[in-house]
Amino acid sequence: MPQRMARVSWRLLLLGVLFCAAGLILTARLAQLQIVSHGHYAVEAEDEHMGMEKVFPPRGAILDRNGFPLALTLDTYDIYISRKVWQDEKLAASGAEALSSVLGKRPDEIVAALGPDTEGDALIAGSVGYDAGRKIIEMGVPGVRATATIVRFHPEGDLASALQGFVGRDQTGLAGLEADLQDELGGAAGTLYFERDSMGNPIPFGYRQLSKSKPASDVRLTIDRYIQEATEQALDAAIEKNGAAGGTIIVMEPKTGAILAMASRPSFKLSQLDLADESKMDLYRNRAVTDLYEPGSVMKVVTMSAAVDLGLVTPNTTYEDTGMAYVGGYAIENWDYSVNGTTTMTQLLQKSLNTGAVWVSQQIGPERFYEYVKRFGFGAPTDVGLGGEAAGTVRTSDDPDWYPSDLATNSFGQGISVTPLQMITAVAAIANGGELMRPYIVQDVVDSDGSHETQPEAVRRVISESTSRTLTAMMNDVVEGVPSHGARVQGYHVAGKTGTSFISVPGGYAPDRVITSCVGFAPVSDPRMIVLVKIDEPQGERLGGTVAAPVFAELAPKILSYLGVPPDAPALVQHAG
Amino acid sequence: MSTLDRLISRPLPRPFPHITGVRPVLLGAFLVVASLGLLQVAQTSSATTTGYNLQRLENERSATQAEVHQLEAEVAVLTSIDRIEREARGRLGMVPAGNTMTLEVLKQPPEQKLVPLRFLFESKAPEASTSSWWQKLLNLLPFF
Repeated sequence: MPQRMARVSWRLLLLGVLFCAAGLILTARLAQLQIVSHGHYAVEAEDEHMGMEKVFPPRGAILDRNGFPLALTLDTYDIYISRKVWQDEKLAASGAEALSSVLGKRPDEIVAALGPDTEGDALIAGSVGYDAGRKIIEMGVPGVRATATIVRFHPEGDLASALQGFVGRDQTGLAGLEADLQDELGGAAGTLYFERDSMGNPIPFGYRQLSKSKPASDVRLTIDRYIQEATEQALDAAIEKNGAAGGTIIVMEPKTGAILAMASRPSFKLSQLDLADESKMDLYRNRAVTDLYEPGSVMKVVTMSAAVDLGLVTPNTTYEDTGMAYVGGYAIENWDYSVNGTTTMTQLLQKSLNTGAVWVSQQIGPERFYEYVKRFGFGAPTDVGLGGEAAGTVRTSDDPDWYPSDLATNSFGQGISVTPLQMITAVAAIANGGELMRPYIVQDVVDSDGSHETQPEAVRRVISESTSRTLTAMMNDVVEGVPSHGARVQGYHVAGKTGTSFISVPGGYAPDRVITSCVGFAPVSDPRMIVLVKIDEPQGERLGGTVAAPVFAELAPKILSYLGVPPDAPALVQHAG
Repeated sequence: MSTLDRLISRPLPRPFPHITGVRPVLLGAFLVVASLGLLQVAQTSSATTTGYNLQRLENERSATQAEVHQLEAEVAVLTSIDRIEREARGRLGMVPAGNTMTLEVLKQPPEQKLVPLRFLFESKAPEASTSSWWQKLLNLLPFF
């Protein structure tokens, strides 16, 4: 009997130990799940039960200087279908039937759009109108999810496409001002956390928390839609007329640096945007600030400004033009191979003589010449606020690869690369009394705190007011002193300079490819606008005076009239009180 | 007689015997619990109704906002350069100017009103002081 009791006690003890061990193991496992790995499993559970959605504030509008919208935001929905749910053919058929009337698609088209995959969501229709989207939500078709989104709408069509740029599906600006002003136009998206059902849809009246988003701002540009339209029409017509490869026109207020119009070709159209086509990537940049060119004879006004400002020459100073200038072992000729004998500085600009520019640059000397080149803003970005702006290429006498012949060629605008925006900003300094203004394109940003206006900013004084007046008069003589100059504008006194430059290619210049340009401003007495016209690789006529100047002459009176600038006296018919 | 005495000496029964002792406490507790339960149900119902109303109002707000955006777009289309040109050419029979003659009118043009209203950048006038008489009175006190 005692032996039996001992055996029983041993078995009970073993059982007890086993139970205790099992209990300890279970407790340890529970502790591991609930305490040690609590965070991990809590996150997993939350991921399972909670959904998250970015909620974008309505994107701000892009407006022209008068407040007319160039880009607006419309509320839309993206419609997704859960492939897993629609594996049920009967359910898919009834769902497609229900959606077809709202989406305007055939049921079989909707089902086919799911593709061969069986997992994930398929975007069945993007940017569906707000009312249609709400209707789909209210229909409650199983497996169908409508996500609120926005779409950009451009009331002026393709106007200023390259300048405005575009946004991606995530409402982030991808190009142009949409990208450059992403913070202002986009605000900051909020995040909506919500309890979701097994289908991923929000549970009605379930947990819902929306983190606050930063409201977007409206951005008013300095661009004027009328001037922009006229500019684009003039550019397109000039390119077509001359069989050109492209071109750029910029219109600016010389006194403030405000850009009134900026157009460049080739470019894209907002209405035909196809981001999937990689061959069109090259069209998305704003060539007015990204592309460099050698300005040719327009640069002579910069050279002349430096010489006049230094007191080295006056409009009546003469030099002897032998038709040839020898610099650093190179012979430089006039563009028309002319020999002009005794020539004044004004005649130099009127005839656009390369030999004269070389002579003037030699009077200035390389150090002072490049100092002026930099003071005019070449070789550094203008900081206009547009993405991808190039600094330009200026080789100075301090650079190891500089040669004396560079000074000569730079004086008439070859061997130096600038952007169209740099060029017009530099000439604007001559027009406005000698101050280099920082060009700007955003007039003001309007947010909940009010309007934040951009103030015109003078970067530096480049030349004296006296030099500015002298150069303006000389440039006026260039246009009005040459019979049938292409840049003449009936009724207004205009100052201008044309240029033609060869395009540099590896190993030299392409003899049959030129860039023609013209910069002009008016009225001379009180310049209200300055226009730069650049036409790339025209066929047939190949001079700035015959290709680019007529474009200026066509555009300038439209702009002046629109700006309410009365013509100079001879053209004025009557004063009315 | 003794039987009668016994009967007389017995205390008279109370009118509501069922609410004596523990029973009233239990009844009270039951009523409290029931009230709390009802309150909970009422609160939950009220919260659900409020949540529903909130969601409905949010939807209405979104719909109104979407409608505003749509109307802004329509106004923008109606004031677009293309549309103005179409109307000028088609409805009014206008053509681009040929010979230009300039007549300077020495009067200010009428003020241009732009639409939509949201895009009118009118400067805000500083708000007038709205201090009440008693606030002004308090301001007179040196320690206030």
